[in-house]
Amino acid sequence: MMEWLTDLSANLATPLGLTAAMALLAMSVRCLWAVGVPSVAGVACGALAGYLAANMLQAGLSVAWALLAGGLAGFWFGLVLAWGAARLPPAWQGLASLALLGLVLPLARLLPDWTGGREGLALDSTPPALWSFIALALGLLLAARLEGSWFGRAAIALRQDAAVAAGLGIQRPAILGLAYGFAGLLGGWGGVALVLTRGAVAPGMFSTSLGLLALAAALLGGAYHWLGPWLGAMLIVLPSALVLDEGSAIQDFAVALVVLALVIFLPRGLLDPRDSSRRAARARHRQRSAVPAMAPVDDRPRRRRSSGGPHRSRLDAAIKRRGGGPA
Amino acid sequence: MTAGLEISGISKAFDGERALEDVALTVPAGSVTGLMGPNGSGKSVLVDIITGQTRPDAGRVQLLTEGDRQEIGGLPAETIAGLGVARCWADVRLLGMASVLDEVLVGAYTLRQASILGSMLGLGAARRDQRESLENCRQLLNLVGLGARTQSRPDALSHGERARVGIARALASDPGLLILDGPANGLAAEEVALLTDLILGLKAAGVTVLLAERNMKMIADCCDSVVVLNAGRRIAAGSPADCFATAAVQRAYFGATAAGIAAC
Repeated sequence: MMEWLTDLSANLATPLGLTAAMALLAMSVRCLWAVGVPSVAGVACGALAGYLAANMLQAGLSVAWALLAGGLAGFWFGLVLAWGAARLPPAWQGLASLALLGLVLPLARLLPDWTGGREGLALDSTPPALWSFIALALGLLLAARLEGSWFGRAAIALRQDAAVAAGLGIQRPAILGLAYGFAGLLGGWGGVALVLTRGAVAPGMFSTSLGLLALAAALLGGAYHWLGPWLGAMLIVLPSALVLDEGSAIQDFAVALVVLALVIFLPRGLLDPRDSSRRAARARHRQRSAVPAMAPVDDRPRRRRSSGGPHRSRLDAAIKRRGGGPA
Repeated sequence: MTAGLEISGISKAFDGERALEDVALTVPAGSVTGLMGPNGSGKSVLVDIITGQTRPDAGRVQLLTEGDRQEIGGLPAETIAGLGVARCWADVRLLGMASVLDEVLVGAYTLRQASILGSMLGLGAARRDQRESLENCRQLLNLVGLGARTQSRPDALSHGERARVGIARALASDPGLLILDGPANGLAAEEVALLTDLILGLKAAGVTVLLAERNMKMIADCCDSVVVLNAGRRIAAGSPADCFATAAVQRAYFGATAAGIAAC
């Protein structure tokens, strides 16, 4: 029994590690999607982080340091890309990111001392898949935290209506810069996780196909939900990693087909926050229908907001005088 | 901090077509001032210029705060919003957030105190900031009569309710000057009455309001003073009653003076 379990975990380690890496890359795509930019720039950050991690591991540094440095390098590269991309409309930023991915292969050949040239760099030993799962856990935690933060709301505002966002005081360059930075961070962790799982890095690993795969995972799972990219990676990468040969024509064909079908029939993906809020609204409606309707009364004590100006207290007083509004 | 506004000599043309010509307007702090005119008179263009969405060709826009006078004409919209000028849009323009509460929360962006690192790590200051913003936005939704709809989807609301969400979103930034652009557009009479009550409540609370509206009854009920535009020019200014009695205003609105209509 133990032997069977050991075999199973050994067989699953690579597919699950690949899934974790792809989930992180898909999360990097979603991070930019959140501000309305359909870009795979995070995957390019992943290439930089992947090569950096491979060099560090070859130099004898620990995986933890490689992960940290890969994330930071991705974040930094994301900020650099944001500086260049800020002046472009979203669709052009997407095209520029594809061109950027196209640069990885020739650059890797031009810098053989650092990249190992055409053959790439092989690690002395493949680190445990646990490190990829740690990176994924960190990425999911980051995505969940950002979702409910002022950054998450500002990103949605920017994506939905840039003029209204500006009217609300949301600075496009700052939010765009942060989005690129976080996409770089997540892509960086994804790149490191990919190198750790493969036990090597090669120029062909970070191609436009990988970008398309990350985009497909984000779209399938749901680019509007922080768990969407993870779900998409599980559905796209895990089955193909278990059943198919790596980079097979069938996989490439299936991925392209999935992207095409999703864009046409399910553009918001499987996990859609709108659906969950619709379900909640229906549940509330059923609840209201089940009990006699009562006028909502808000008798909670009201607190003065510390950051409010002098007229805030007068506004609060007016609210109280008016008994909670005109409803 | 309550703010006033002083505008002088504002002109704007689009591809040679005059939209505004030498418009002047004063909004005293703590007042409700009306900006009135028929469709196409230039109200929304002037609002766009005040809020930085459009650059004027000429003229000055000055924000008056506690004896200080700051030129804001031509500044970017986000900078003007950061100075405490909030607006509602004629076509509401909600952002498709998951809930009404989220829609209002995004309006509190300029008041945020937590850093992005604090938000990521869930530090105490960020949690406190979030809690206070939530409480403040719930109060604002109570104020606009939507306290029971905080978790509703914005697109499930009626047009009038959506307009009130837009006002709550603008109020969430604790503005010194609130600009309402066509808030009564497409509203039923009862909803206009509700909105009028709300604006009077804001006035009682000392909020400065610039009300760009073509509904004469709403202007008469809410405003201390009014400026009337027609075809990009200022044709009258003063109290609502005085302006309505002006022949130029009657012609702009009805195509004839009251005396002429009575004679018919």
